[in-house]
Amino acid sequence: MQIKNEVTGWQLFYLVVQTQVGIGVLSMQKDISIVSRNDAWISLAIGGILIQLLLLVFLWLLLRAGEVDYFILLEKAFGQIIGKLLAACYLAYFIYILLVSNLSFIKVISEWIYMDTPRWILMLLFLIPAVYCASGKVVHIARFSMLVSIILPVLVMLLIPVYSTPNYTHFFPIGSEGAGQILKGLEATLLAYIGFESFLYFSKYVRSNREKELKKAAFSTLFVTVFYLFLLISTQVYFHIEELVIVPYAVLYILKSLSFVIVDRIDLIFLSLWIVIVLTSFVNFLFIASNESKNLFNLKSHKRPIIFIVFAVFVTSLFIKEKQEIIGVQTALPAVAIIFTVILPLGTLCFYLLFRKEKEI
Amino acid sequence: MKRAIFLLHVVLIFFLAACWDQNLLKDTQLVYTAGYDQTEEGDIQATTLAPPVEEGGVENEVTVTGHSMLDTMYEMDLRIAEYANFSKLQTVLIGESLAADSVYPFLDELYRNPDSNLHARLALVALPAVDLLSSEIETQKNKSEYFKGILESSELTSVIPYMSLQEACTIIFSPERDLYLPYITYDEKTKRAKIAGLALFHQKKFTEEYLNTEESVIFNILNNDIEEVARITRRVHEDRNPEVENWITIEVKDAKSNLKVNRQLSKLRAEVTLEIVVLEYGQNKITNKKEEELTNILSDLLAEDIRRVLKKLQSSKSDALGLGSQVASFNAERWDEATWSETYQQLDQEVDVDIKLISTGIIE
Repeated sequence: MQIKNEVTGWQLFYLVVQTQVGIGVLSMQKDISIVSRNDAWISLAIGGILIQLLLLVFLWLLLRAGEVDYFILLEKAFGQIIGKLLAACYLAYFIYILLVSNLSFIKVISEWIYMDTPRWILMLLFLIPAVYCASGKVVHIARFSMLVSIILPVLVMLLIPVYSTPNYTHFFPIGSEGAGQILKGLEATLLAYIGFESFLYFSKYVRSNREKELKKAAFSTLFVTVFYLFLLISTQVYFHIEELVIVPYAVLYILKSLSFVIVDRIDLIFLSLWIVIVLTSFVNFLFIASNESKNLFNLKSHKRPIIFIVFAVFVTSLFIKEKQEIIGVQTALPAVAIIFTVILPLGTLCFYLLFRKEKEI
Repeated sequence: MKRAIFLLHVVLIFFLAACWDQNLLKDTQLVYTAGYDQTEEGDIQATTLAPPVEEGGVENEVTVTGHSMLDTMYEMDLRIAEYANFSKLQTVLIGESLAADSVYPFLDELYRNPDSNLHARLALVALPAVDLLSSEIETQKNKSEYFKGILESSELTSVIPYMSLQEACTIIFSPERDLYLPYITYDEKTKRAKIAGLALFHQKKFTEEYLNTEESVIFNILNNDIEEVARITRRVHEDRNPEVENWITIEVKDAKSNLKVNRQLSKLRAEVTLEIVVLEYGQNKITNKKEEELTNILSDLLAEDIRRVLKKLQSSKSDALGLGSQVASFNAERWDEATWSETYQQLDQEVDVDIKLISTGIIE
């Protein structure tokens, strides 16, 4: 059976959602709360709205550009040499993201449940399925992303018992940290939302009825924002801010402290669902990275680069094991992310449109 | 290719067993009850109870001393045949010596360890925890069950609130609220432990004051934290004979309490609405007129009780009702963490109790 190498608008929607929702589910509450304290939810909401607007701008520019593939667009905008160079930078950026996501995943798993299992085993167990998933066609990972999205409502349901004894005083006084801290919190917020830019790369697979279908997918960040806000507010009504900043994975603590009649330790159930969510995020990035290197090096298939990339991530991760080193790897992420997800795409798209206009005249 | 994938799956199965982190029941000793004291040198003395391996066997009791919480576990492992495992911990008893300065540093390890049980109940013990755990409890074979049960049954009657490790740590981390813990004493004569009420803390330190069981029911009503059963027995008449006819026992079906500190931070207003059912009343007949008389008497009595409880909280500087967090949230410009305990002590009280008698049960 011939499977078409294209996706529908809804599939793209879930692809982008699943690329965004990953490690952040567990780590963003603390990261944002450290900076914007009890106004963390405001930072998150503002961040979500800004990124949603940015996506709409991307959509508008993409539709005007006419060219479907973002990386070809890079070349057309800046010429072949600079274009290829930028594409190579992008590749490095993707590998960096994969590395950070692998390291963070291993950190959570080895701190919370598998204290004694060697890290390389955990990594292999994470990376081998990822290779398998990413080696398929885009339709496969799109369908997988859709399927996995069923987990998100489950996570929401698991957290609902928090509202049996909510403590809303933790939010007050609203805005006490001042605009400065709230805006500073946007940096941590951006980390939670990374993955929204996959809209640019995956959009080339939407072939029929582009304008209508892309519009559907462009609102994916809105969905993620609502989901994240729920997570953050649930942790804020539960924990006092002083506690939230010392608790590394707030959601896990909450779930661990909830008790139902037959089930205890729901955090472990949550964790096994969360692993799948992190995996989709990793797989989607891996897929983008390998497809990009296929174009970059003029290869026939994207399967070989997958092996190379994953091998590189695996070996590098083996050498980064001290806590400070892991943190060191992570700290560069916000700055790098802004360049590759906001400045470069916007610049490229605008440059391309202006450049083309001049040519036409 | 297909064969390669098949083989890969076969190989992968061997990775799934998670052998490194297996935690076999036969290798572990599940600690159900743990008691902690501080020695004079500042070390931690831990006493743990693990249920017997065979039914009807003897409970496994170990007392060790260590420099830190994990050190006590290490010392324990040296003395028992298995590994000590705290994942099924039910009760943590804290000796007063541990709470003399700050109780949190000792709880930190129990709180953060992913293995530990956050539902474990916490209680403060009037005598060293080691003495309580090693003393004989009449008619009880399984002490772990006893200590868990004694707390659980008192929670059902709203004498003490459910205070788990998680709840206690949430309160400890709020600078605007003070901790309170169930308080357990031991009666030498009857050889039984007893819930004595609620121990009051100022920040993380035990104030040496506690609310007795009568007062702690009132406290739970004020804190909007009552369970299905909350019984109050009061003397409503002076002149009846026999004595039992002077008394009434009511059950609080629904209680709403609204505590407010005014904007000038000078007055504390408590509005309490109770829906009650009369369970036992010596005179056995309640007419409409009698009903009114009784609610009036009870309102006055309970208002007096509430004043007494609030006074006790204020004089011991224990802001267990979390009034500080209310001020910090809704009156932020006047909130000052440093002077709050002074301000709190100076608050004037205004108590308003509204009682609705909704049923007289089996009494006509």
